[in-house]
Amino acid sequence: MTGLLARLDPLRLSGTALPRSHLMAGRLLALGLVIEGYVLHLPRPHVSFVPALETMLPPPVTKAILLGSLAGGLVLLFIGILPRLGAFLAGAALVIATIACPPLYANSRLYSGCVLLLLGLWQPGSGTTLLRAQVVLLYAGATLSKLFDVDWWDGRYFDAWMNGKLRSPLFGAAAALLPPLALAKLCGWATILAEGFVAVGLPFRKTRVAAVVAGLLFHVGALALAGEDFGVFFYAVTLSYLFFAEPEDRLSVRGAERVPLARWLVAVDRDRFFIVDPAGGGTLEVSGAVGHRTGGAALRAMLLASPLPYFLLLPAMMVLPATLAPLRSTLAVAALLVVSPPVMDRLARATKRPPPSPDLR
Amino acid sequence: MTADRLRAAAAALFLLAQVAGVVRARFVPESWFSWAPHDRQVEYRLEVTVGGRALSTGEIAERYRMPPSGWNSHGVADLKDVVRRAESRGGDEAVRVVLFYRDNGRPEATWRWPEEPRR
Repeated sequence: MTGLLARLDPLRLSGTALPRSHLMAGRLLALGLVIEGYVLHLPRPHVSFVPALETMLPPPVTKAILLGSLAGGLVLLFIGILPRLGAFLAGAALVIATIACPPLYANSRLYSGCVLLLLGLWQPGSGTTLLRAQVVLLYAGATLSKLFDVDWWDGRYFDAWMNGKLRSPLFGAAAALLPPLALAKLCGWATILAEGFVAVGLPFRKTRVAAVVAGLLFHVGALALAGEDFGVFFYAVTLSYLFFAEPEDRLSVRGAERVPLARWLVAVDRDRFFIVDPAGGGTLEVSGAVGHRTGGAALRAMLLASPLPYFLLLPAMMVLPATLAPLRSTLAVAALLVVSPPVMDRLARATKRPPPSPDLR
Repeated sequence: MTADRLRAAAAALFLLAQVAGVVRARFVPESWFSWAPHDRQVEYRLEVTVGGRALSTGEIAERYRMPPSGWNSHGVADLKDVVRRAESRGGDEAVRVVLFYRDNGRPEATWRWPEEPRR
């Protein structure tokens, strides 16, 4: 019974075929889809891209089947029992639902479906190529679309979005200080540059970290500017960066007992992912397959590898109502600041003094 | 081994289909499956008459499964495509659709169904 309960623990990321980072991304995405109401609002087939989806079975029956596949799949993925089958069922349901109902076409639903479907098709030894390709394809498509759209270059798009649709007072005030459409043009160019850089930078090891940082800043900036998370899209895309994490079996940790945050991360580690070396010195150190880190970099590696911060942050952002939307971007900015080098370095400094030596007493 | 290969082939085909969607979007007005999220801002309003009777907003929403007015972030070509798909399936009634739209803040334009034959 205890074993079964431990298996159902969503914070436990070992014991399945899926790599740790993949399972974590999948579970969080499953949670996001439920919180954001994608299960309740699955569309019924109508004027489908594939007419057979409306004629094979009555549309309400097709919808019921898709709903069962989505809900059942998300549950399996979340509790870690047959997670790949769960991801496949949920992903297929989301992709088919998108194909079945063009009027309610949503990139957030389609992208989540694609990621889950590929997670379901993942197999040991296949590496991360396919999931990484999915993320790169998203950014490449987005860049290409904007590159060929003059409205993104001349400021017309951002002006229509910010001043027409959102009536953003912040954007309006900032734009008034500059020549007409200058800010809208800058935002358009910055978007093309950011998405293009992420598409080109993610595949290569040398530029990967910079691409992830650029991507996070871009999405958090869009979240702050627009005040909306575009359904589950913001979470699905940012979680996708986990597919670019280098696989680690375990991290050896030294000096964690001196750093409160590191001590806490070790305490909530369900999988014994952190192997604590009691012979730690004065500085926090971690080492694993990808190398050796000390101080703030070591603490950041621990924080990013632990599932609990993600499970605390993302649901907290998702459940916020529209009226508290600014708080959502504040949380995202705060999270980025926490993992920034100055804050990590400060937090990693030993705060618990070693006992004084007998000579000094 | 065969199952593993099948899975890998299915995943690769799935990605290739998406690449085809991105490439296709360069040659057609619609943006479906092109990974162009939120790339346009279209303010629109639909007016529909069937057999000479104007449909209510609720009836329009039910007919097309989308709001009869509001903002669309995919593009006006996608809106037209939905109407075209719904209306080209036949039916005896004389249907007239007028789509009023402002594409990325441009002056209002209209599109009508049935479409006039191209000259």
